[in-house]
Amino acid sequence: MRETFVEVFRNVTRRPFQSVLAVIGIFFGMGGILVLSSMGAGVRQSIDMQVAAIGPGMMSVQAAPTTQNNPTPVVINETDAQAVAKALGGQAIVSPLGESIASIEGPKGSVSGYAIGTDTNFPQIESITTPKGHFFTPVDNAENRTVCVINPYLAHQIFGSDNPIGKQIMVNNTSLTVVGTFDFSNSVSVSGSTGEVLLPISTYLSDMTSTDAIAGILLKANQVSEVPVIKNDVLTQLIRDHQWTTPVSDYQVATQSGIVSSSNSLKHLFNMFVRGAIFVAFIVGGIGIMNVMLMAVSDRRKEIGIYLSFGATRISIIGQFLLESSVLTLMGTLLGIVSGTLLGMLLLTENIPMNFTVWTYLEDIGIGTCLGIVFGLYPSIRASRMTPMQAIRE
Amino acid sequence: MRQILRIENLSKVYSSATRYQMALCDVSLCVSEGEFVAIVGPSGGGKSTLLSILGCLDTPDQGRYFVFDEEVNWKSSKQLSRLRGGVLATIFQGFELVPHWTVSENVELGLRMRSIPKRKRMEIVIAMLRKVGMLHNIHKYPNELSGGEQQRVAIARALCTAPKVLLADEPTGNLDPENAKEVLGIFRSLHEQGTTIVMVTHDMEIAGQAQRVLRIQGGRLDNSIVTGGSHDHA
Ligand SMILES: Nc1ncnc2c1ncn2[C@@H]1O[C@H](COP(=O)(O)OP(=O)(O)OP(=O)(O)O)[C@@H](O)[C@H]1O
Ligand SMILES: [Mg+2]
Repeated sequence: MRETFVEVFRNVTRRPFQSVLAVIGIFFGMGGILVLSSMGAGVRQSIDMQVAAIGPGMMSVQAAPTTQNNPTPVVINETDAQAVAKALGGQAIVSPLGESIASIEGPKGSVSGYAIGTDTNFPQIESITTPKGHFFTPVDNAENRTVCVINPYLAHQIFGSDNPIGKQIMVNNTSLTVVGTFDFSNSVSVSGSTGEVLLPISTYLSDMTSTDAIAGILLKANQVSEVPVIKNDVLTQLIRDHQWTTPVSDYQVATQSGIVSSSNSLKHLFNMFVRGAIFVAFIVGGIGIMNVMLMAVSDRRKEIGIYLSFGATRISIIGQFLLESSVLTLMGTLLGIVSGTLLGMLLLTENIPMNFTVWTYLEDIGIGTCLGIVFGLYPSIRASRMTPMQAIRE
Repeated sequence: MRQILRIENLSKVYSSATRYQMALCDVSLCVSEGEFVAIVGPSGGGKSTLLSILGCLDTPDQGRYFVFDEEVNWKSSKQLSRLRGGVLATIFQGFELVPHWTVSENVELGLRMRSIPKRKRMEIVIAMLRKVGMLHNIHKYPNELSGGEQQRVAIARALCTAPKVLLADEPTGNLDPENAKEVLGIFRSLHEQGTTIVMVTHDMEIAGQAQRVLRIQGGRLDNSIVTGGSHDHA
């Protein structure tokens, strides 16, 4: 047993150039597969997390986007939100959502981010907390006050380590007073990784935008089972208010189950893409190792002939070549795993979701081993088929 | 005496895209157990081809070959391996040593294929190399040896497995008369111990040591000059 390994080692190191080429081929293939499948898992996970952020019972109403068939889509405004809230009574919490890109300026810097106009139901719908200060109040909203709540990321960007509470910031040339910073665990409307300013919807409509259109309406049903009924009620209400003649599809009411199913098909699509890329890497690495093994065999025909002349069995010849190709594959796979992990970590710092699980690694090693076996087998079977004299003469 | 090798109406053709060469044509031959047979003939006559078929290292195109009355053609690849590594052993005309193995690694090949433990293998290797006078070269590589030295290593390799039948293709072709005599001495003592020997040679004097001399020419066995050798086996 030990002798066999010593011999494999000798054979592999005797043709360093070829062996290195094979290892490099496998290395790129396997590293690529690892990065791809980790990225696949990461993207799936991040989709899952975003979907999970949409709690059960969560709904959002948006106007259909402008398309060629629908050049002037309907507009949702704050009165719609109020009408919907009234119509639903206690069945759901409702909050308007206005959103626009904004340039935000503080004493220590300026960034571009988002101004988000909403009302005081928003923290409840989106599970938002205010670790410093407080959220703006219904009175702030009613009186059009120029107050806002910002996220810690923005606070850091424009205030540094200073306490932002009570300070003024400029958002699209409007001066707002910071009354609190907000935090969240999962949210549909805010991300936390860019500058976000929450302000009363009344202030938003008067100072941040020239139209009365808003991005949409957020709803959270008290009972998940009522979601379909609520969806229907909302549409009915909107149709009545707008005296609407255009088709219902002009509004989009997104419910959690709808989002889950569309995210599943997205995940499926992405999975197919990743599988395809893995397949290509598999073939490329495999052809590389097969080439090298074929070369090794023709290189060593004579040796094989001598082996056979002195009693080597076909199985032992196949076994030897198989072992050699497996060693090459394993080295390539291990290198691929190490470098793939490093590359993955690099991508992670670039905010690309990566998820390294034990399974990804097992899968990678499994694929690598298969590669060695499948592509090492053919040349070794070919080698062992020759008669000893045929092998020696060639 | 029991027959050990028997070929019947055997033919072998080498064909390539452009050429077609009849190397053996309707050859029939019997070798009894313990016999010492010499094969002579002109270059290109088919001697090596015959020997490679006798050694189960190549397949004939026509005819039948029996070892111990068992037809080789019907043997499985595993049985063939056992024949090659056991009953039969070949000394190749071109030595065919593995260049990146040392002398001792080359010699022990047949023993390794039989999974004999390392220590036991080394004992046999040393004994065989001593026998052919190559013990001092045990750690050298084939390309560090002269033709005659390589030939003796090839002889040691074939003797290692104590074959019943030794098939030797010009075993003295590269040796000076002194060494040739020594090798012949080894063969004779093997013969006396019961080993069957089929030896190809150019040298009529060496062929004369055998019990029987066969002449092969143009792929055909020349029956006219089949002679008894100089000494008889008891
Ligand atoms: N691999 C081969 N392909 C084609 N022809 C071959 C091959 N090997 C041998 N021959 C031909 O077969 C014939 C017999 O060859 P063989 O090697 O058996 O002769 P030989 O009697 O051993 O000659 P020598 O005494 O020179 O060794 C020759 O004509 C040779 O050219
Ligand atoms: Mg010859």
